[in-house]
Amino acid sequence: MNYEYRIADGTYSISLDKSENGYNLSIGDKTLALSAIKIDDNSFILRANGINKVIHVARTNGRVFVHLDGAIHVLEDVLAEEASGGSSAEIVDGVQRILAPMPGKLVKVMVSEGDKVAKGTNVCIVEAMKMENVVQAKLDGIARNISFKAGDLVDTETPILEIIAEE
Amino acid sequence: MADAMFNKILIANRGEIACRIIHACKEIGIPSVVVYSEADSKALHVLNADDAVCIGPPEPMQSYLAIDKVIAAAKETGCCAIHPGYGFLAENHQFAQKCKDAGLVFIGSSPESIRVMGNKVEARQMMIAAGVPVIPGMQASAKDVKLFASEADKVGYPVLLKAAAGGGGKGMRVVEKQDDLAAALEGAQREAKSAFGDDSVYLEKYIENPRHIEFQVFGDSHGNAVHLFERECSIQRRHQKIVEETPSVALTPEIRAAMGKAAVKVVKSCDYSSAGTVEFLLDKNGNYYFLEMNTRIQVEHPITEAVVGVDLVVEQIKVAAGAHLSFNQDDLRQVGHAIECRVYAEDAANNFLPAAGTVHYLKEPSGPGIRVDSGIYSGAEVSVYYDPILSKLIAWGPTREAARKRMLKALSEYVVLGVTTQIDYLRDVLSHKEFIEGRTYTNFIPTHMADWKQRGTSDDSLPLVLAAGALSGQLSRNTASVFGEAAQPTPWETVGKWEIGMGS
Repeated sequence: MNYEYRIADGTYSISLDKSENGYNLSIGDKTLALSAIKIDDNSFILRANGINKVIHVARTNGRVFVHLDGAIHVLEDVLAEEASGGSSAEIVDGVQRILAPMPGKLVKVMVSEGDKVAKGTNVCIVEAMKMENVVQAKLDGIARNISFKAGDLVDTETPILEIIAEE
Repeated sequence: MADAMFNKILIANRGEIACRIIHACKEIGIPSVVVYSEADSKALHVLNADDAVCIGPPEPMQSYLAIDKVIAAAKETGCCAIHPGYGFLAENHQFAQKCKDAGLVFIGSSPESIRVMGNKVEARQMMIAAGVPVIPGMQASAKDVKLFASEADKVGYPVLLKAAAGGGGKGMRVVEKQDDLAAALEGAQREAKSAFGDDSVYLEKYIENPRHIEFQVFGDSHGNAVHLFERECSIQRRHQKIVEETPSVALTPEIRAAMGKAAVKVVKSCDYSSAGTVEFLLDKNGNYYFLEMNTRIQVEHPITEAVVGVDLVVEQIKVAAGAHLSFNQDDLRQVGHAIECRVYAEDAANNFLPAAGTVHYLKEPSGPGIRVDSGIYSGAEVSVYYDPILSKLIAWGPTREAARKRMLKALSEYVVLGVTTQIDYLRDVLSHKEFIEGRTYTNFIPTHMADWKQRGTSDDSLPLVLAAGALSGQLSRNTASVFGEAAQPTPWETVGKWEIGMGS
């Protein structure tokens, strides 16, 4: 099966297929034989090149958190994004999805549904831990799909609103 | 009196410290009740306590800081004492007084000793009277630049100008020489005025690159007072401690004994009767100066417990019930070394912005000498309303280096998925050459960690990380213990050879 993940600035296409004794992982022209033993719903032992590694994972909204050797790696599932038509990248196909920079309370929304918005306009303010963060439009467009109002709690994964580029 | 004990205790706090106090209550067989806000209905302290009372909306002013609601909850549930933890109402002398008025025992010191120590000017004057060294400088604020100049000559440059109403570095100026004094004073007054609405400024000697050394102290209501040695808390990020240890490598037995004696003097001078902490600055010549006294159980109390072998929270409860201290000074020894790391929900790679969300998976480390004081669990929500501390990791070892290695191993096995923490940052602090060699001064973080960057995914780990991502979707669906076809006990067959360093 094919997978595509974005980690930091890199995007990687891989395939992972069952083999006689586990799996074969292919990246480009390289192949690695793996086997895995499940520990619990979030943990398994992955064995490759004669070495066992305990790995912990958690999946949420198109992201996979992977804990390996004391470090956490955040994978963004590119194929799942394409399937759902969205992306966590800020501007895709002329649409900016405005996300909270941190989980917090929406203090103010400065635009209304259908407003014309110029690039650089302040569109909303999110407050967390007594700090206010002003979020700006990154393109000229129309404000749409405003899903929250002042006072609502927002997380970093659900768009507050969208700016759709003018035709 | 020694056998008198509370029938039930209310804990007026949340998070890891509330859980710590519940733990102590369970150990000595006292039922515990917690209060909680609407944001905390599934918080760990609520799940762990014997009873819980919701006292209001998430905002602290309407819940954890609402004195009348807390006291009413204690009365309603038949508690006869309140433990305030740290933060929130812990150092509020009016709260301590209201508990008393309501017939409840406040597990802490008297309202008067909390009040005096909460007032910086009064506390300083009391310490001068008691013969405890304080940072040399003005006794009160002034306006006339001539007064500042003569005081600066007396204590010697460099000097520090400080806003009387201050905090957080606002209205503070370091002055190296007399020529700069007048301009710096004007600047400090202007800044103090705009930050606090009060342009009062005073002057004290500037202690260059000090260490932050504090002494754990304990008094009881029978006039006994002891110290339980020091904790070094020099590793601070914007005045917030993140790593603490004991003993401090900077103290000789002579300085330790002298500081301990001074700390006990502080306890006696205010008739202090509970656990408290006396904070000092230690300069590079071994001079120490009283900073302030914290009249509460301290976040970093577990490292003292690990090295001295006492339970400070249990002792607080017993002393509040009227017992004599269960140890005297001669009973107390430091054995081995302990380090604490505070785990915060914040993003070290992004200016330490607070993080929140769901802890999708949690696995806490364990092993010889490891203790975790935690306020979270797998599935817990970390909200934006409160201090972002999630837990504390404590490592004890026979030596500093043994404790440090245990800490590093434990940090690498501490798994928090879903909410960003600074565990990787802590690992780099503990691995830093200057930390290893014990050169821990209060400027450690700005000096050595300013250009810290999160390590990316290495070429070696990349294939495993990608494979883990691909396999992650099958984990919850797959009930068999082994993935793939290999159901036999020997699934370990390697086909072909993986080459390290594949290009991207």
